[in-house]
Amino acid sequence: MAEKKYRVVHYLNQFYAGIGGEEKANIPPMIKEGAVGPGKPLQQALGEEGEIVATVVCGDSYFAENIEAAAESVVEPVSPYKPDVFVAGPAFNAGRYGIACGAACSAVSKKLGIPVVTAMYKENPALELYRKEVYIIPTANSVRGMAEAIPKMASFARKLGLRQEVGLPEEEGYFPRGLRVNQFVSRTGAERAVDMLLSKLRGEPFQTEYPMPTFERVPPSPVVKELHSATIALVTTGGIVPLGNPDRIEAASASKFAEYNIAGVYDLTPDAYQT
Amino acid sequence: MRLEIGIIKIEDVQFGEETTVRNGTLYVNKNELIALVRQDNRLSEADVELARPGEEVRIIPVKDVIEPRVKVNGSGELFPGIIGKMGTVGSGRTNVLRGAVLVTVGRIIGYQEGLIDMSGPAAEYSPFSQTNNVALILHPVDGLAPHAHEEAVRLAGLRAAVYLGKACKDVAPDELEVYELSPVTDTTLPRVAYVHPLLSEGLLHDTYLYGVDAKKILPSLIHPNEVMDGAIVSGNCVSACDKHTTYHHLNNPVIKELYRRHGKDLNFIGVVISNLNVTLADKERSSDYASKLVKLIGAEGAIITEEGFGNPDTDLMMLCKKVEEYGIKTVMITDEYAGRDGGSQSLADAVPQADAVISVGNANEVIALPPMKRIIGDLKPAEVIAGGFVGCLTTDGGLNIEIQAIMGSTCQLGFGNLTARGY
Repeated sequence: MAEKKYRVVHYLNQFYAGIGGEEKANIPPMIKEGAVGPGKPLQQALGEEGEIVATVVCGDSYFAENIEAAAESVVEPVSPYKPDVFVAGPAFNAGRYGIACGAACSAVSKKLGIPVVTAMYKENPALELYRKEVYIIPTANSVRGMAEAIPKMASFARKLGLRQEVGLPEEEGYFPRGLRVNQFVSRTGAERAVDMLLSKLRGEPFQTEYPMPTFERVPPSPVVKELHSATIALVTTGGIVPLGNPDRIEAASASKFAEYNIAGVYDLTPDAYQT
Repeated sequence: MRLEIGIIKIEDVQFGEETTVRNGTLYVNKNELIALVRQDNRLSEADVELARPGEEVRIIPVKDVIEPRVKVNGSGELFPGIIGKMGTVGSGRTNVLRGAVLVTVGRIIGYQEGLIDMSGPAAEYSPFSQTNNVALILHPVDGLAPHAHEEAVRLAGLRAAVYLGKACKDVAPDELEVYELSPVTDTTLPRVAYVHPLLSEGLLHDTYLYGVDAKKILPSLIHPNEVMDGAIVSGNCVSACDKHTTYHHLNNPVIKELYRRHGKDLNFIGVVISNLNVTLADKERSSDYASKLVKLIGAEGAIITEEGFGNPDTDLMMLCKKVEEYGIKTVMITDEYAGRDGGSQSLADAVPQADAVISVGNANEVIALPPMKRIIGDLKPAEVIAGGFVGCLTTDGGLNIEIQAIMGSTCQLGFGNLTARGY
C-alpha cells in the first residue's frame, strides 16, 4: 500500500455529519474517526496520497453563540490527530455554517500552525470575514454544487498538505484574499506602462496591476442640533505630537497611538509640539 | 531640439591626486571636493567616502543621488537656475559619468532619508547598489534651520556632481545616445503625452524646475530633453522608496521608453509638467490645467506618474479622471502602501477611470537586512526613517525594515522591476 503523504482533518456541521437537523444545532465539538458524510467523496478524491484521519463535528448554533470560544474548542480535539492540513465544509450559502468553517479554520491555523482551506458561495457572509486569513474556494449556492466542490477542495487540500506553493487566485481557483505581494518581473514599470497604454489605445485586452477598490456610499449621520453641549472630535492626519515625541510614535506605519491632555491648550506652538 | 548624451562608462571609483577619468575609473581628489562644498559656511563639516557594488557597505541616511555630468556644448549649463547659468537645456552634447553617482549623506529631517546597501538582500531593490558611489557626508552648523540645512545639502550635492562631471568633459564617450523628437509621418501612430507631476508639498518636500519652486508653477509644457538635461532638481525629503532623486529626473525611464518607441509604435508628442501641492484648491487647479494642456496638444493617450504617496494619490486620481474625461486614455504608475501584511487598501484615493494601473510594489514589505562591515554615515537614524521603527535595528547591526527605507525601491517613474500581485 502506498504511504500516505499527508493527514487531513475535516470539519462538518451536525447536518452534513448526519447527526441531525436544526434540533441538533447546539451540539458541542465531537470527533469521529476517518471520513464522514461528504468527507467520503472527499477522501476518494484525495486518493492514495491523503488520508482523512478524523472529522470534527460541531453544531451551527453552538458556534454562533460564542464564535471565538467555539473555534478554540474545536482545536483541542483536532490537535492529537496531528493533521498536515485542515479542511472545512463546503458551506455553500449557509451563513452560520460558513462562519463556523471560517472561524474553525482561522483558529486551527493560528494554534496548530497548519494550512487550512474551506469552501463557500460568494455571497456567504463569512467570505468577507475570513477571506484574508483563510483560503476559501468558490462553490455553487446550494448542495447541488457538492459534486463540483469536492474535487476542487481535494486538489487544494493536496497542494497545502504537500506544502506546495500556492499561486495566484485566478490560477488556483480561490477567492482573492486581498493581499498584495511583491515580486520582481523582467520588464521595468516604465516599459510595462507603455505596453499597457498601447494595448488600451489599440482596444486590446489588458490587465491592470492594481484593481481600484469600490466604495459603498455611507449615508451621513443626522445633523447635531445642540452644538454647544455636544462632544466634538476633530480628526487630523497631521501627525502632531508633543515636542520630542516622548512615546516615539513612528512617522510612517505607526504601530501605536497615545493620548495627550490638551486642556487649556488653544494653540500648538513649536516650543511644545512638533509633527 | 537634439540632445546627444555622451556616455563615459565608469567601472570603479578611487581617491586620487586629481579628479579625472582614466580607463573607466573615476579618481576623486577628496580634499578639493571637500573644500568646494565647505565654501557654503552653513556646513560645519564635510567628508567623502567611496562605495562600490558588491562591497559590504551601508550608506545611511541618504538624501539625494545625482549623476555627474557636464554640458560640452549647447545652450544652458547643468542645473540651470540653481548651479548653472540660466538657459534652455536639452540640446547639444552632455557627457555623463555613467556608473558613478554622487550621494549626499547626513541626517536632515531624520525620518525621510533612506539607505543604500551595496550588497545583500537590499541591493536588488535600489539602482544605486550597482553604481560606484561618491558619498558626500555633510554636517550643518549648530542651530541651522531645517530649510536652510536642506538647501545647503542640496546645493552641495549639485556642486559636487558638477565638479565630478567636469572630469569627463574632454573624454571621448564609449557610447552616444541621441534624443530627438523626429517628425512622425505615420498618422496611424497614437499621439502619446507624458504627464509628470513634481512633488511640491512644502516643508522640505519640494522640487525645482529651472530653479523655480514647483509649488509656485502652473502646469506647463516641457520638451523631454530638458528633463533629461537637468532642468529638474530634487529638493525633497520624502520617503526614500518613491522619491524622484535628481538621478531619476536625469534618467527618467518613462521618457526613455517613449523615445525608444517613438516613430515605431507611437508618436511621443511631449511632456506636461505639473505639481503636487497640498491644498484642495491647488490640486483642482493643477489637475484642471494639466489635463487641459494634454488635450490642447492633441494627445490620444497619456502616461501619468507620481511622486510620494498618500496626499498626492488624490492628485494622481484627479489627473487620471480629468484626462480620461477629455476622451484621452491613461495609464498611471504608482506604488502601494498595503501594510506589512499586504492586506490594507493600497492607495489613499481611487477613481473608477483608473482602470490601467502599473504597480511598482508595496512599500510596506518588511525585509531582513544583515549587518554591514562598513557604515557610511550613521546607522542610528534607521529607527526613525520612514519604514523603520523602534526595535528594527538588531543588536548585531542588522535591520528589519520596510523597503520604504531603501532608495528608489518603489520609484513611481517605473525605474525598477518590482511589482505587486493580488493573492
